[in-house]
Amino acid sequence: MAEPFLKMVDIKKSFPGVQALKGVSFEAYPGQVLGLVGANGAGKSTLMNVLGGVVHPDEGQIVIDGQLVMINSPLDAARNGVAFVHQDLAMLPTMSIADTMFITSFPTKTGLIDYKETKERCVRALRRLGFNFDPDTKIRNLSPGDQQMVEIARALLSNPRIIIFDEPTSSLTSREKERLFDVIDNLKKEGTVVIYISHLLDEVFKICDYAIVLRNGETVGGGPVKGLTYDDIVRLMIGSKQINQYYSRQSRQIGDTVMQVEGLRRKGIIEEISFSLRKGEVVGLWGLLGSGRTEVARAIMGLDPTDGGVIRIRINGKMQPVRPSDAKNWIGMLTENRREEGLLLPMSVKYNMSLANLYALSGKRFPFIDRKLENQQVKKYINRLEIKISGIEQKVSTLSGGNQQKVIVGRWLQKNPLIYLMDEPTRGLDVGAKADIRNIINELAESGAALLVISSEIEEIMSVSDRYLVMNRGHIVAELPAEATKEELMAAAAGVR
Amino acid sequence: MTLGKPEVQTLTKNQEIPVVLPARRSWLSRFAPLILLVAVIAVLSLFIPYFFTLTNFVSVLLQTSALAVMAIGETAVLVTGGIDLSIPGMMALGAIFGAMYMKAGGNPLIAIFIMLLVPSLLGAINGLSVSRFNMIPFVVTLAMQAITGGAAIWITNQLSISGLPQIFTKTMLAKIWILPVPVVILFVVGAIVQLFLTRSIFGRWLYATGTNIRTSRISGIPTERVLFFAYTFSGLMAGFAGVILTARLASAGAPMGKDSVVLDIISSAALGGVSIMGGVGTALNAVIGAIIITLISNVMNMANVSYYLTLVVEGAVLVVVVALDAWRRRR
Repeated sequence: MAEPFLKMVDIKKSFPGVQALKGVSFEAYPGQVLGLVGANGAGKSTLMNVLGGVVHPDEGQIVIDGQLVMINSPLDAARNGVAFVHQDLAMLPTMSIADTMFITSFPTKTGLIDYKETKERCVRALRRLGFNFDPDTKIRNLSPGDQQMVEIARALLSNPRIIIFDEPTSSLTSREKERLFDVIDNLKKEGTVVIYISHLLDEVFKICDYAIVLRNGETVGGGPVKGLTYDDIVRLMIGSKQINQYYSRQSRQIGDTVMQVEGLRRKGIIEEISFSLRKGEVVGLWGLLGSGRTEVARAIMGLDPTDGGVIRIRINGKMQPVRPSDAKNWIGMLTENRREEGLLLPMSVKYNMSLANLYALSGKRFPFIDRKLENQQVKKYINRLEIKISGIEQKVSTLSGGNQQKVIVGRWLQKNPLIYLMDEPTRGLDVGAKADIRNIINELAESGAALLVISSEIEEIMSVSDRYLVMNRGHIVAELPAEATKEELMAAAAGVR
Repeated sequence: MTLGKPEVQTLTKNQEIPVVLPARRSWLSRFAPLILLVAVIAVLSLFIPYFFTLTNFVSVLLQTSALAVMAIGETAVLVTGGIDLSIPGMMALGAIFGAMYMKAGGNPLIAIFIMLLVPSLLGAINGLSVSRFNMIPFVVTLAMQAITGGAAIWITNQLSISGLPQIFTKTMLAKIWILPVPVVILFVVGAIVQLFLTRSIFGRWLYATGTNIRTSRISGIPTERVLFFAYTFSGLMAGFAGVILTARLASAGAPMGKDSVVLDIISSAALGGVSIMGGVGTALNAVIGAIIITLISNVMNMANVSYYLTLVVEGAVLVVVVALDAWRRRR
């Protein structure tokens, strides 16, 4: 291991409003598995997208095999021997394995696809991984693990010298995972540089030879895995300065249980989710990306199908089972994607704010809407939430992210449900708007609502929660009290037992 | 659903009320169909003698009434982001059943009821397929048009059912003041639908569903019911059109429901500013669109232009209007 095969030197990249990479450098050697570790937003994916040609860096150099290279597109990356196995499988479900694997590189004969050759190559590529699929099998008939293998086989077609795995185990069963690790082991023996992105530490310890930890776009440490402990890595991930920082807040009056979820499950996505929410309480649902936290919220609201489980909600003083499709009547939800699922973008602020509460706005004029009452109510909540607009007829698409989010909050405040589910309520907002939303969460809890808050920013979830539920791979793996430290939360989410 | 709902008082921060200016809503796009209609009328008045007379206007309205009522039904569906291609077929089948019943000596009132009921039920089938079974509106209603159109020909053996009781045709074409009954039906239906679309809870739901069905669902809007209703309503409007047309033709037959009528209906709605992509459009403007379409085909007719060339022109107008809609959305 004299010469590093890959060197990335002082890579910088900023996106509007955030510097994603602040000068990251690392080296990788052939026959070595390099683990890239970090919390969400640490810059792992951006760094690898730079290497994969998806993102163009502002500064920095990439050296492969002693040569300074420019990687401006995925095609350039492929030419330089870089292959990328993405987290989200980019599959064509209705097409065959052979078609999927060769979709950009069909062998041709006199201008037509040479299917005989295609299938032969396909079989050979799969055998290399120890698989014996029929190349005509449709992708949708494969398990996620097998699909992953096809994806890997496709990546290996070009005989890459560097292969990047981005969270490859997120949809795999434990047996499929073992198989993947065998494949990685083989690649390593063949002298390929393997870069393995993960936030699951047990995997990193199992298969990586070397690990580097990113935090806030910087390399904060690393070394041979043999010389590191779980605690070392967790500490690096969250930053030692901030350990044990406690967020002071007024203690809340926590009352009776208002919602109880029992054994909620969706095969392969979330398993046996049970918890309860009490009046006046903010529960932080914490977990890393892909842990199933968003899926829990969506299952409760009946937005995704479920395979079982009971949801009980306190209605007229009694806990009653509620079908997920009806849960919307008692729960206000802020979805993580406000433009796609939160707003009616082409419509006015007024229409957006009164959307969930039209019955109450009809007053004595049912079935018509009392326009005076509607204007009054909308203005009232615009004032309360301090939404900055030129008028209630302004199109909601022209507002800033923070004001848009407040419009959605205002929609639910009008309806005033008992329970709120907030998925990434401050995503993409500026610091001021984030603080506003946090205040609203606190005030809602003080006024007696029960809130389940999901966030990928640990500081944020710590600033509002009375209790934490920690998820990992679709399970709730821990329940921690308000006093839990950042370290404890991060360790639980990363699957450290 | 009723909840004991105390107001959330803790958020009160009585700040000064922000200046609420009326937003720059583009009045041009709101009144564009009306402006277009006025322009068309102005041009035609210059070139055609006796065009600008009350008698002629009433006669144009009478001619437009069936198409306009169907365009109103189509508007409800288009606003939800769907499309109904089966209006002519449903109308024809309903009209044929009603006419057969009358011819067999049935009560004209019950016959009218049949003419309204049959298309409503067929529309409900469309609605159920789209809302409950998540089928694609385009395919569902295309199939419904084939089924109803085919059934209409098959049942009538390609013959029109004429010789209907005079009381039916006479009453339906009677004039109230100077307005024939079909025009009165159009006005009344148009006014009620316009009111519901723009002012009622249900209307708001319709637009919300067509604008973003996921947001609507999360906000607790019963989107399934909204879609079901829109298609059923479209069927009912087909029924009204069937009654009007049967009276005007003094007969009912399969040609009433020919496929090309769909082009008229959708062109009317589109000319009236109803977006094919959902969420935008009103009944009133769809009626204006229908009047423009009727005027265009009248002029072509008078100028002895081939019917087929008329189709070409109408198709071209539709493409231009839809292109404008797409352009407006991109901005």
